[in-house]
Amino acid sequence: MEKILRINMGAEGGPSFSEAPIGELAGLGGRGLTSAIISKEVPPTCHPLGAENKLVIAPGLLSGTMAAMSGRISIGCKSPLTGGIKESNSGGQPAQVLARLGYAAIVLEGKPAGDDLYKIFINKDGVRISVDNSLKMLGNYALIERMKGEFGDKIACISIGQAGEMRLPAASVACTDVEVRPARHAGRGGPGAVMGSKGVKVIVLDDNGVTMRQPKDPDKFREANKAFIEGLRKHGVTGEALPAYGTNVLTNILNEAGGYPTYNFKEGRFAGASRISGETMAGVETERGGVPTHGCHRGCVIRCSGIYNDKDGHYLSKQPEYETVWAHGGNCGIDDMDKIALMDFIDDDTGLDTIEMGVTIGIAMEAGLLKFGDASAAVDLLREVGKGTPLGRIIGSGAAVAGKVFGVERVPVVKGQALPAYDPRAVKGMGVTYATSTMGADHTAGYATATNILKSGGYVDPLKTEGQVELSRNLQIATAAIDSTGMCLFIAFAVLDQPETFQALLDLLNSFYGLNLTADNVAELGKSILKLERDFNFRAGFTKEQDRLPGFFKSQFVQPHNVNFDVTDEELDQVFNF
Amino acid sequence: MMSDPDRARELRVVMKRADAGVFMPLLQEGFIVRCKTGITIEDLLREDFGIARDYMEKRLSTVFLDGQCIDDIDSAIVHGGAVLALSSAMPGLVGATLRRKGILASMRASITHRGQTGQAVSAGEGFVTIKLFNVLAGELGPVFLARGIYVKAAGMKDFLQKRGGPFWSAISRTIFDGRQIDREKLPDALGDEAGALIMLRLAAP
Repeated sequence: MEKILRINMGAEGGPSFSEAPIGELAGLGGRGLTSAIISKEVPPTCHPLGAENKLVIAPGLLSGTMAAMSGRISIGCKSPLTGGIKESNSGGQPAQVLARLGYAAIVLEGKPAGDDLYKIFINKDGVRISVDNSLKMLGNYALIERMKGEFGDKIACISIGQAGEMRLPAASVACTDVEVRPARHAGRGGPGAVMGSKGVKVIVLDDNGVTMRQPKDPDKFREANKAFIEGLRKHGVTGEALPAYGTNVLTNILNEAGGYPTYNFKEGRFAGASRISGETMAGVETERGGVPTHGCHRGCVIRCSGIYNDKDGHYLSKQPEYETVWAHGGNCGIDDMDKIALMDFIDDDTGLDTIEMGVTIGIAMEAGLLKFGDASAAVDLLREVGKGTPLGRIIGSGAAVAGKVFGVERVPVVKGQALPAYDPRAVKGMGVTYATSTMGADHTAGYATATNILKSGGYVDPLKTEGQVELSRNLQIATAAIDSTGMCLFIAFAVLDQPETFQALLDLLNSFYGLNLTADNVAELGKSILKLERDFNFRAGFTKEQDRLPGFFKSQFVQPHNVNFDVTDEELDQVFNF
Repeated sequence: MMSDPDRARELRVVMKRADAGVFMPLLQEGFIVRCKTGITIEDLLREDFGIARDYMEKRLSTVFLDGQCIDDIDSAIVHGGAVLALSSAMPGLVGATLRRKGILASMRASITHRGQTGQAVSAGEGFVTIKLFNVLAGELGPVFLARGIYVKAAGMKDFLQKRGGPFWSAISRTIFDGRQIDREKLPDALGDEAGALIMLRLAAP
């Protein structure tokens, strides 16, 4: 990871590339690196689909090593959905392979003059960029089958579906998993549209002939990795609940708490929740010969994913995440698990953010285009996107656009990005993060629950009713830092409860790079990333007025607890006071 | 309208306790138990159901009473008609937020249980709805099933009609109203009278 690959898609005479040492960006990875490059090199007021925008693809600091859970890849750009800076990350194999090939980042720059579509192949021998218009408007699954036929099945791919080619704001970037399926996505904020605007359909990575990245202190690194894995395995969340039921184990819990947004955020509970819960889903998967416990990349020890088969025992999709099940399920009043899994597949194949699509369909339901609970109509509507029909393009443009087109008032977005699966009226601390995140409404922006260890904003008494702002600040700082390591955010639970596991994470970084990082250094890294991102958004024209939830969260109370979002604007403005 | 639990017909299922996880759909949906009321969650689970305090401390990480988050199971009072949901530690920021006495508890302050309001709750006996989520369904399900749980007959019928081979192979015998009954005949025997309850009890082979 000593070099950065820059591919100028708009070069005279056709795309060209260059490689340069990472230089002053050394020590940055993942989100830290994508945000550093975007904030420095992309004019904040540029059009997100124009030549001036860049798409930065960066594995984490520990990707490509033996470190467990280090397979996240960050994809950054100016977002066509929010208009601000974006880092969206994904699991799958590309982070590990790209890091082993020695790249700290790939930067796609410029814009081709014509409408040719390109594929890029990268292995130990170099980079090959070629026109392949036969790939036009292929879904991700068909595309990857083509790539396997051409390059073999030992590859990892980063690709876009039809949505990305059409440059729709909800388009995702797909990353292949262990089985070389395009089932992992950098979904949020439309990075697929930016990749599409660069004319790049797929980047094929092949690490045949290269070795694992080696640490500066192999013995200490091995010990740290062992302690880290032990910490993950012994923890109730990372060692039990996630492997057994996946993230969808949250459905029953959020529903019971009255914080499960239902019927486009109209209610807080869904009567059909138990029919689409993680517990139910795991049972169905087992019954049909699927897999309820599965890792999305090699080196994952939590294995929160799975394989969801149809009634005949054939692969339908990977196990849908909680947010996907909620977005297409309870939010749309749908309790048909097979239809939800089918929509997950369509999202992945077309290259769409599942949260954005579920919320957008919910808005279409509220507008009366289809009825809440009509799963077949929801599937049909989603298929419109891949076909590129006018209606499909509206849906693929996300919730904010659809809300305007369909004349709906209750549009749950912040900075143009749809809210995820937790009602901010019931869990107000989450609402603070939704409102103030540099990324738009994002449940992972303040996710790293290591706040008690980092104490980056001071200690907060958990039994006090105050402190939402302080906690959100700490969480966002910690998350920005972990997003730079390439570590899956799910490590955060073990890190929260077990200081020795947090120390093991630090030891991994220190022994690999020969550093002596402390918790304070990690917090400072997180702060510096957030400052860069906030500064970019400020220069792009954002003000504190964009750090707000939609008004209906204040004016419309949600049942069963009859609560609204009552954190004041003045309090929200204190989140970024560092 | 739910019928009188005292009039519920009994379905006894003979099977190994370790296989009780096959009833997960019923356990997560919620079932009714007859138990002491007007006492704390901890007292209820310990005194009435024999669940060890140590287990509660280690495993009951997320607890809801009538949809409100519980921090202290030793002070929240269970009243007749209450809904008590039990879960292990949950993932995600919100999972950590909902956790008992968690560092992020203030983020869900508006849905946190603050003790009883209005009329005082007196100790007695009554009916409480219990929901068991995730790994706790497998661990605590046998405890409740061995004592007997009340479920709606129509729900039980629907549940049985959807079960496949793995479910039935876990069951040695089914006894309904004191008589052994074939599995094919069982759903119809349960009836579908609106609100009628069945008492489901697990018996060792």
